[in-house]
Amino acid sequence: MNLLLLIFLPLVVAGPAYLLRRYWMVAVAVSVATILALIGICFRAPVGEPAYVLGRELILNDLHRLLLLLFYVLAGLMILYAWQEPQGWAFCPCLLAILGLLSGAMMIQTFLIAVLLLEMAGLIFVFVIHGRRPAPTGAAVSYLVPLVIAAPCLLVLPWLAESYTLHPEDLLLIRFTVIAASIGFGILLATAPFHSWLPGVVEGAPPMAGALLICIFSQVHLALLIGVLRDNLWLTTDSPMLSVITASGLLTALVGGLFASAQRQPGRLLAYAAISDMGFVLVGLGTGSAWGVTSAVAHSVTRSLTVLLVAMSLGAVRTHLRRETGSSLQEALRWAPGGILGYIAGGLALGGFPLFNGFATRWLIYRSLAEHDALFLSVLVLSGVGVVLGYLRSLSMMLQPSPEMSEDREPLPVTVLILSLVGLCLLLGLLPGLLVTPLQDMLLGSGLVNAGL
Amino acid sequence: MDFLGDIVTTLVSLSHIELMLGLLLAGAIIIVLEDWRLNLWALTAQFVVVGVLLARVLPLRVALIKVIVGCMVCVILYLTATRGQLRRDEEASHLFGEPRLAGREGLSMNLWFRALVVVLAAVVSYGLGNSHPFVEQPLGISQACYWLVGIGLLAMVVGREPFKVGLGLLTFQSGVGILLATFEQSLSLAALVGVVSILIALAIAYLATAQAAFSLEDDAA
Repeated sequence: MNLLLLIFLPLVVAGPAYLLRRYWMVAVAVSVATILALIGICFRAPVGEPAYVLGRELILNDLHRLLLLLFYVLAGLMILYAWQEPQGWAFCPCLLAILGLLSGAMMIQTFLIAVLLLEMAGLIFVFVIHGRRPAPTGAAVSYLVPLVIAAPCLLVLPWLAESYTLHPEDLLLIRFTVIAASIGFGILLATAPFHSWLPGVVEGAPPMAGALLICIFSQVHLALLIGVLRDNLWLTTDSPMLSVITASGLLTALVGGLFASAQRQPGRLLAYAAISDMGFVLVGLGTGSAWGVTSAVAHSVTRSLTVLLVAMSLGAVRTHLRRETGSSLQEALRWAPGGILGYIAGGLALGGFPLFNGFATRWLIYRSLAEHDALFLSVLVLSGVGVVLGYLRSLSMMLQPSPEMSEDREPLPVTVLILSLVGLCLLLGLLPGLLVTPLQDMLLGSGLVNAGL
Repeated sequence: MDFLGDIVTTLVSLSHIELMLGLLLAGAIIIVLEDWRLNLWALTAQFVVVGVLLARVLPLRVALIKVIVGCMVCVILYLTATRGQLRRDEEASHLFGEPRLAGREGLSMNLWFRALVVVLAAVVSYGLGNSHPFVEQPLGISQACYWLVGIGLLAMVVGREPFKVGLGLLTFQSGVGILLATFEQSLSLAALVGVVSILIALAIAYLATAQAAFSLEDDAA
């Protein structure tokens, strides 16, 4: 029953939240109350106990519970931010509907249905991308097309995997499975060379829409990829899947870092930094070792926090820097203190600068790679340097006037939200064990990693 | 009811070659012609033909879901297109004194190129369907899937407006629906694929309306 509530409660509340969109405060209050209820339900939901919907089994494991709790907390922060800085009429109802569908996609044991639920969530996300202004629809279309193309690649995976278990002598099936998984997950995770859609979407969408895509959708895609590898162990032993993941991760990190270093538009820079970070996650996952997988999951969690921090800061700075005083850092700090500090801290964390959470989890990935190759390490370090350079360069661009500017100071709740996230990033950077140790115990305890995938 | 029954009987009795020709014609109209009315009729016909084709591998009620969903999708797109057209004509008469003849300009421009691409796609999908069929019987299923996926991808590539890209997405989705129907024939899966198609149509309707509003504002500015 509890598991069904995680799916249907947000889906049902999305309707009233939509109807109440003109009474923004009420819509936000209803959405926050729903998120709090979801957190409570998720805490109390039994792990490993099945529930059924349409005859399909739903199971919540430890990793999924951790990720769902993370999603709910992130979604709550996004809604609180949207309370002060509106992100479009569709944001709250669509976010709730997306959370319900993504919860279903994480818990359902039928991969076909999980992919269809994921596709539905992605289609609802299209309404969030366009925001509230009259604007060109290019960003939304450039998200919609890759989404619809990626889904069939994943939908054929169970059939290919089943065919291989029936005909293990057919080596062509291994090749087809690896190709389908690489294209499907490659597009959804925006890994090189399928990454080109993400920068346009993040630049064209409201800041919280971009954050939702990178912080929540990517995590679900990653969880599904880990699930596919766990359920089809032959993919890690009899196929070149792990090598493909590692190579793709290295290429993604390098491409993301290089493009980030040359980027001037803050939205695109955020997207390239996130792409580079996804490269790190994939490299960790591609090692296949218990330590590598733990590092990958930990890095993806810290990536979500950092991207949310940068997206919030970006939105605050874009909106609240005054036109006539925008070019001075001191003045900028007066008008948008949280935005400026958050942007600097988030940029450094995304680039893996020491003291921040990005560095701590990157260090774990470097360690898991130490036995592989020094070339891998240099590529990854270079990618991080590219991101930091990109953020240092973009700071001066950020201080330029923007068409969305208002004459108000940054609202206090937004400053508090951003500074709290900065504090959290610093805390996890100084004490990474707070995240990594329980995560490792949980992954080993639940059998998700057992001396590797 | 007898009339409806006759139509269903006639459709089910069509050979796979006739159904394939129907799909070929519908796909060609979507790619080559710019007129939204013809495109929507072609899309409706395409959904019906796919439903009839699927009735040979699926239980009839599951195949019927595809047809009903297809009709709902076409109604959503029709309402969007008429609303957009009316608004465009209204604004154009206000701004320029007379309605613009939307849809005609695209006809002459790259008609032959598009027709050539359609022929190429037809040859490739026929070849692929023969060399890599994913079901042996009944005939036409594999070819139809390859054709719809191919023509859907082409429509996405050549389309510039959300509406045209959306027709490509829905055609692509129809092809994927055929592929899925051969793997799993459950009612729940068919229903979920139907929901996905309706969500695609809603997203396209929203984007087409937003694009029209933006273009008008841009023109006015």
